[in-house]
Amino acid sequence: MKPSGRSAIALSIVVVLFAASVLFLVLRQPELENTLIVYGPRGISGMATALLQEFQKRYNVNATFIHYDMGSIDIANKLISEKGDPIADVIIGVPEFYAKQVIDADVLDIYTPPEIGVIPASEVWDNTGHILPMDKGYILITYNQTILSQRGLPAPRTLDDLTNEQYRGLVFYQDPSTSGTGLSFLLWVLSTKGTESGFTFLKQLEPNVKLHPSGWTSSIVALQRGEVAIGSMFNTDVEYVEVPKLESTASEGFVYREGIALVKGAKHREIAKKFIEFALGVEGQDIVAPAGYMYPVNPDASFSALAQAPIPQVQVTFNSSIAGNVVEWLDRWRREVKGA
Amino acid sequence: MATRGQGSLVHALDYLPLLAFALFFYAIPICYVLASINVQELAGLLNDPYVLKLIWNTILQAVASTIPSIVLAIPVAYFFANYAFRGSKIVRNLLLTPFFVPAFAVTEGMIIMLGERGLVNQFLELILGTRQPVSDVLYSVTAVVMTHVIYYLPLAMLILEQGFSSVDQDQLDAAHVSGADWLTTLRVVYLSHLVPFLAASAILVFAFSFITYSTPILIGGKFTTLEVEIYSTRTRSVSSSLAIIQLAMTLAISVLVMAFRERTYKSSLGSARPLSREEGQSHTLGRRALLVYCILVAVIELMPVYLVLVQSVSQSAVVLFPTSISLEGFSALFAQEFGFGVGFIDVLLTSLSIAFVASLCSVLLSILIAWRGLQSKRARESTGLLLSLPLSISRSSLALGMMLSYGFGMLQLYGSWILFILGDIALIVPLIFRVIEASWLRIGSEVREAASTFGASDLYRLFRIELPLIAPAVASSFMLAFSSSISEFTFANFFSTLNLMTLPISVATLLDLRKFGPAAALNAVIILIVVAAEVTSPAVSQEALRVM
Repeated sequence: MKPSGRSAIALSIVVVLFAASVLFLVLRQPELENTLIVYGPRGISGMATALLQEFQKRYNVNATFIHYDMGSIDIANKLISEKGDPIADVIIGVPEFYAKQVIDADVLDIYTPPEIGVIPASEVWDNTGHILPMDKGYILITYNQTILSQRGLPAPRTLDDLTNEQYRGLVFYQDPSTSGTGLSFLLWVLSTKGTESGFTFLKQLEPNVKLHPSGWTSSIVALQRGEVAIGSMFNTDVEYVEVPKLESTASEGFVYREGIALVKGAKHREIAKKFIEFALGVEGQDIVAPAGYMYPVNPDASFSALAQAPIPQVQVTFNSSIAGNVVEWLDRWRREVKGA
Repeated sequence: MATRGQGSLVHALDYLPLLAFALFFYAIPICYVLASINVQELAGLLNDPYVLKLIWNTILQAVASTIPSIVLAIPVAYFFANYAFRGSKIVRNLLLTPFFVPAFAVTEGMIIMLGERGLVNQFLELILGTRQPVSDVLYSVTAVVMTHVIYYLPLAMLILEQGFSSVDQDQLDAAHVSGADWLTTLRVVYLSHLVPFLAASAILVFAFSFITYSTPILIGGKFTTLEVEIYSTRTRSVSSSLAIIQLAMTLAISVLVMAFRERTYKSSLGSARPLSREEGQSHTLGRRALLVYCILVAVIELMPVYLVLVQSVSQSAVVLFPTSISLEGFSALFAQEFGFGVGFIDVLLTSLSIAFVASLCSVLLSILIAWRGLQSKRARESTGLLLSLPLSISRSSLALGMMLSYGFGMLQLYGSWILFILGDIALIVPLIFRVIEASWLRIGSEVREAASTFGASDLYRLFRIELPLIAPAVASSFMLAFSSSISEFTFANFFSTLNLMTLPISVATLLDLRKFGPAAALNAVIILIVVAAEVTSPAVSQEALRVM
């Protein structure tokens, strides 16, 4: 069964291309066996990648960041599901408000690096020592001054201002199921008003809300195109170069704090400890502001990249008395607020 | 003489490739999803008013997407079935572009069109002389439905075109000779042939709209669907329970798809004299109106994709024609590091390599399944039924299952390029199988019988007679597979790591890094690759694409 001349040429080209493709993929295949694996939410992949790239250069080891396209709670749950045989060595971006669940699941080891001594006690929020503070940011009510001026509207200053009828169809806050900023907004409301009153407030706010973007990108796109004018954003998004006149009175804001932890049963335990030390040291903390748009907790680290961002006058932190119900709140939000 | 037992074994072998495919790519991953179900939770969900409302919303938007897609597609399908012109195959394939480019690229184009300061509002403000936005459909279910119409109208058009093409020319000639007016001709000749095609296209568009998730997330505003809920809860057991409800519903839809598909095939492969297409210029008023309508549909269809391309080289936000060209976004791609040691060229070559390997494997697997499936009528029907089911299956549920089974479970492939290829094959085979099977069925049993009479073995017949005859369909399906793989996002989103990623994932990475210029440029690269595959397809094959 010999193929004809043209068929033979076509067949040869296909075989060569197939072999070349497989060869390329085999050569490009990353080796994960001898690699430090760091888990974290997708939202901080820029910062995590920059940190790990620098760490690789410094210690000449293989390291990677895995987020599975998950948010901070989902990735923490993924770690919990791997209890006893973890894939990750370190987890970063563990939010303060979900720390209790992760610690109670017994998937973290206590590690106290020397660098913790220079971090102010006020920045340490996990007293059990499992999760070390790494960075923080501020969620503010921001607005597009151009649109408000065109419509002759005053700038919103507080959460309650957002329910003002004159802002109907102009407000947004991110979907807390898919966005860390959205979850922070939800927790800001619940920390300030309590659970029941908080949900009542969110339901009152909903008629003014035009959309719940899935994350930062869709929020910025909606702001850029003038679809929305008022909403929750990190303070570092104010004066963001591509959004015209995004401002904030910064009267009040929510402090979003996240940490880093050593995974119990980590396969690369010693290098994992080195990474934690690196991430909390000046060298690693210097990367937090420019790559993650967050504030480092090490006072010796620079955050000059965020110099223009307004710091809220009243800072609301997570109300630990309501800890432990985040998943239930997300369900409730989808059912009673978004899906109502 | 073969014994009865040997005969049964031979028949069983006819099903082997199909069953192996179904087991490996679907049954095992779905079993992993099933294993994580909490039965009490599942029972509770079935009585949950919130879930019932989600199901109802999902059905309503799917119906609302289906009706305009079909109605608007009918004249276009009629046009392509009746009139041939130079480049018609290319135009027809180009119309499929919105279906194959990543959803976020099309939705980006829709945002540019439908936004408060979008093109539609600018146009309406100009016409009505107002300075306020007239249309406010973005971030609503209306925007979702409009986007679905853009995605699925060409799909409906392809199926309906097959229906129009299967109309018996003798019956048309008879209607013409007997002086029947166009309404009578439509009712008596066309409708009797078209009903199964209309039903088939409607069910397929409904099924695709039913499993939508990225479009509602991106431009649906507060509107949500069952699939979005599965995605939002994807790491919890409730997600698996919802996925099973979704799976059961899509299974029912798939059975309907299959039932109508069989009727469609019987009609399209009948012995009627094929419709003769008219070549050259159209002259009558009706034909001119039809041509204008088709041009309008083509412009609307390609507009979102065009706008994304323009955006990639333009410095202003919303423009129909760029006032100044900038290639900064493209040049920035070469300096960008997407992950750990992953540059633009790495991503490009990885995507092309994965697409090539996945497409070739899918084509070979489809040939094997179709070849064995055509050995008997029962095998062909079973093959058709089983391969119809995946078309409307929830992609995120299957991706989750593959991640659990092959990523972390049996094969530990997470982080490997092989997992990407497995995901692609699972999606592509059900799609291209139809192109290959349809072509094979047209060969006619007399060719096979004649070859067998002269003593040709099965393998000789396959390689020397049948494969050369279906080669154009094989080439066409390869291009279809390549387009599909290069822009696949759902599976890649689950499987990619920062060490190994494809083009659509790199776009998402750039957006995370707040680099909009390079992200638009990379979107344009994906679109151009898809368009190149579509344009090349008719050049390498005269085979018409068949999606049913």
